[in-house]
Amino acid sequence: MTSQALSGAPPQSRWTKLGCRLLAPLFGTRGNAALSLVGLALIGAAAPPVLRWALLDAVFTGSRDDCQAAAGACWAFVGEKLSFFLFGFYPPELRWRPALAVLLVATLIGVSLLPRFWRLSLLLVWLAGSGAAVVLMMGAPTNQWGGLPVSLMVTLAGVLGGMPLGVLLALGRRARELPFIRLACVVWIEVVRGVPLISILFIVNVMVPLFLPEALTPEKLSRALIAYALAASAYFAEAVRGGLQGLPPTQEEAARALGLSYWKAMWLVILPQALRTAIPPLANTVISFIKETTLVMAIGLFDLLGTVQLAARDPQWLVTGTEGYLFAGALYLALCAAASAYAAWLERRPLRTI
Amino acid sequence: MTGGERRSFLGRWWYDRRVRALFLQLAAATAIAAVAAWIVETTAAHLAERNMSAGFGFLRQHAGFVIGETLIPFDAQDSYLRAVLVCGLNTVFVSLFACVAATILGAVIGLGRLAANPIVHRLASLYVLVFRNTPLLLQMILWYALLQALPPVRQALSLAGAIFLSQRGLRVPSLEAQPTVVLAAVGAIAVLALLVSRIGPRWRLPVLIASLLVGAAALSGRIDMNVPVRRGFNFVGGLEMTPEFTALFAGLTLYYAAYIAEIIRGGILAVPRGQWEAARALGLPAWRVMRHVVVPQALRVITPPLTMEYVGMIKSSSLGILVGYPDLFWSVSAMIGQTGHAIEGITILMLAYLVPSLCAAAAMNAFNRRLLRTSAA
Repeated sequence: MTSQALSGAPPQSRWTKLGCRLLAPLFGTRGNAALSLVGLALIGAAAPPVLRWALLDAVFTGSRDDCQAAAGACWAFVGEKLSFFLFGFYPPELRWRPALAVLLVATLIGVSLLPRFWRLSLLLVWLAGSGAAVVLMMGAPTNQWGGLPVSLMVTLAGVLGGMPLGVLLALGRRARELPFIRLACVVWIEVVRGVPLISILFIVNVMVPLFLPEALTPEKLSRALIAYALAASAYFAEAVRGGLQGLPPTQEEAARALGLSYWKAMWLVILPQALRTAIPPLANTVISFIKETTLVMAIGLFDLLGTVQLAARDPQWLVTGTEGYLFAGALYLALCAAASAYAAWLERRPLRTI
Repeated sequence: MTGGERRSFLGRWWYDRRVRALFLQLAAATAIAAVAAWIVETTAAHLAERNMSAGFGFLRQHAGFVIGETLIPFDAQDSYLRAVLVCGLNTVFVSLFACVAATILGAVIGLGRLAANPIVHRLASLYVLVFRNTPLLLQMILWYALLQALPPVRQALSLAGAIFLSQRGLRVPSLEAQPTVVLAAVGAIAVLALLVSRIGPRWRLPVLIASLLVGAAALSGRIDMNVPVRRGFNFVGGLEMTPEFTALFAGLTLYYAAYIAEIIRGGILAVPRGQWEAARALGLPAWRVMRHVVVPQALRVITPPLTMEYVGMIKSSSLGILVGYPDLFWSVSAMIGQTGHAIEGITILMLAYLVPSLCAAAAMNAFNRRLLRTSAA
């Protein structure tokens, strides 16, 4: 006889123990059990119809008639329109051009994400690479550009144009000896952040032709790029300001005492530390601008969301476009989740000591 | 060596920080003024070319367009000014409701993410992941597309024969009363709120129940419930929530709820563990620990970012234009499209959106100052 049987406790098989370990966190207490039941009920109510719609009753390949006959999702629509989603009205026989341009820029972004490549020559690579991408895109007039390249260009205009401007604005905002410049920076930052982004896009689109002589007026896409860079500058400035405020003033005093000029002190001592502290808000700003590129629809440009919406209106397919929006949503979800994972990695990365 | 002396005199000026600062600022001011002058000049030339005069006089002209849904009556004969006000009211209306709904949903999801229960925790985390990482506009357009896929009015989904969901949006019963009755009720509630905050906790519940009973008795017969009825191809009566409103409202609520959930979670996590343990050690039940110890401390952390989210919601309600909801932004852009008064229209637009933003910023600064004072004391 084992000691367990002698002690009077019921013998426990391995399976019961496993069951207890699995179920205790779910049904341990009365309140917890109620929560679990609510959660399970939610899943039970939502999962079967969603699965039936998205997988079991769905049409993966086929024509519009197959979709009309089926009760589920029409993924065939997404497959058929995929190249329109990605490249818009770009002439189909020339779509290798935007595809190559997107690939080139994506590679550039991928390389730039690795800190080991952070040096000034990277700037030259970017100039050459983005020049080549624009040349590739030039195979068709700008009013035929659409989809992924437009989303990418607008995002890059916001991030690459807005970031340096934002750093300058943040530095201007804390320049105590220059009250006029400080005031101008504060007004710019607060006004731009205070109005909706869509209205900045609208203002730049409507007002720039009014302000500028006709010869200098850029076409619509360039206006959108300018609007995003200007708007992003204010949001980046606010993110950088947090990082600058977190630094003890002794850092700047020490740098100046060593005889560094203002700009050298900023570039070598203050900004490397401040930008590192500001990684979380900076990442949030980048992610929000990735998402807000969709607003270019308001001035009649077709980004990834715009092309999906346009495709959904195709009378040949008679779809609501739900499948297309889910596809685009999944793409944005992957991109934004990857961006925030990258930011978290960058923040955890140990500082390299010299 | 007069040359050397002069150099050092100039050098003193050149390296004087105050002189440099003054010089730099003068240069910046000149540059800004030059750009402004150039812009004003070209704008004036463009306006003259189009035979247009600047000024807000055009606001009195007939608008000539119809607004899809309004809270107060609007007619195409009414002025542009009234059109902007009517649509501004729409912006306030949708933002207000979305703020309340998103706060409630956000609190539920934020607490869900803190729950020890793995199912609830994972569901809440999944919600935050999905809704925070997809564009708000995409979500709104998706809700609009789903509403279009609903059955037509004839086959509307109905709940208890009073709430209908169809292609035409959501129809719910509405309560209707004379304006005087509404005013009296609001006044009575204000007085009651003041009273309840003054009396001791022992009497609160009885006073509340008694006043509820009195209030119900006073209002019975003075309020009519207007239940929607299907007639022909549409509904009559009740409160109509159009697909445009529903898409905008649902988009704002669900998107911002994910952000608010994270803010609330962060605020509660910011309360030190020792506070929880001390409150438990005093023998307080769980909800009292929450009510008297955790929430007051978490609110200090939560309030500033939460206010920023509310301002963000007001700003984002301008996306209504892209799902067809007539908000402030829609009315101003329609007005600019018709009259060409871009500068005046944009001035109105910026002022209207800057007022809540700057008020919130000022309120938060005051809040932070008060917090600093109380924590220092």
